[in-house]
Amino acid sequence: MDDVDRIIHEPARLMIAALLSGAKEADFLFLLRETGLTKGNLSSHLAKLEDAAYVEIEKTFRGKVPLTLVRLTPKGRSALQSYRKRMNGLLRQL
Amino acid sequence: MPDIDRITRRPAEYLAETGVPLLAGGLVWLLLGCSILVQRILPNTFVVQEAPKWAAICCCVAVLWLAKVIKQRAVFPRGGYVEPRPYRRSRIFVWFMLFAAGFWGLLTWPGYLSLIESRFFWPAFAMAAGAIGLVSGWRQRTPAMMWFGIYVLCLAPLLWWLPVDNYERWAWSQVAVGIPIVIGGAIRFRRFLKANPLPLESPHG
Repeated sequence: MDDVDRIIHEPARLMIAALLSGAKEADFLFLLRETGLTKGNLSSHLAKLEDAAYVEIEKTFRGKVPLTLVRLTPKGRSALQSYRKRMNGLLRQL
Repeated sequence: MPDIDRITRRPAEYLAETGVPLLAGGLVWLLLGCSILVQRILPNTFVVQEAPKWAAICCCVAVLWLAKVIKQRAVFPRGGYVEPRPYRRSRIFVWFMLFAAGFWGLLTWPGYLSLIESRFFWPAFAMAAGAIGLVSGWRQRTPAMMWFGIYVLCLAPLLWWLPVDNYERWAWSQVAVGIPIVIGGAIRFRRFLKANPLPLESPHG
């Protein structure tokens, strides 16, 4: 279990990464509603994912309304796929 | 471990749940069918016959634009914005496209072209489409899709009975299919609006 990616392994971040893997981009509100996290919690997890370069965050405006867009990077997508393979392999050993 | 495949499908499912794609798709079907029926009641001159067709095309473009505006003004401020990645097609959809391509290929083969003009063509198509909808709904456990499949199957004998030519029969089938799709889309959209009130403050961190 030592080689499991701890960034992705955390359940909330795993859910965020899985949601973003099905999208080209998503905004903060969509992630908030789908994950059920609080705003602070979601921001914190996104910051950790951004530090690991798994997501990129763009703060922009749609008209006068602020908009936070999140995208999964190729590194993040690869990390999610590797995590899934690793966990499936571990589960098969049980 | 959570079902990651299910979570990955959420962006596409979210947009389908809003009802907007159904509304737009159903309206397009309805408009195309109505344009043909309008042609039938207008005088048979070139300009007059072409007008409903082009009006329908313009209306279809307007419907697609309106769907985009509804998503931006009503859907995204409530449920959030997402642009899904192209998803893997289900096996049923792939089989349906293969069947449709094979069907059209057979019909356009020299000697078989007259089948399109045959009275049984659109009823047969309705039976095939209804059966696929019913099986797809049963496999995916979506009652709405199953009922829609049964409805389209029931359309087949009605299309056969209609005392009109094949072109008009096609138009009536588009209208008959478009109406329940529009109603289904409107119900889903209303349900989405009720379940997702506008947030009081901007959620963006």
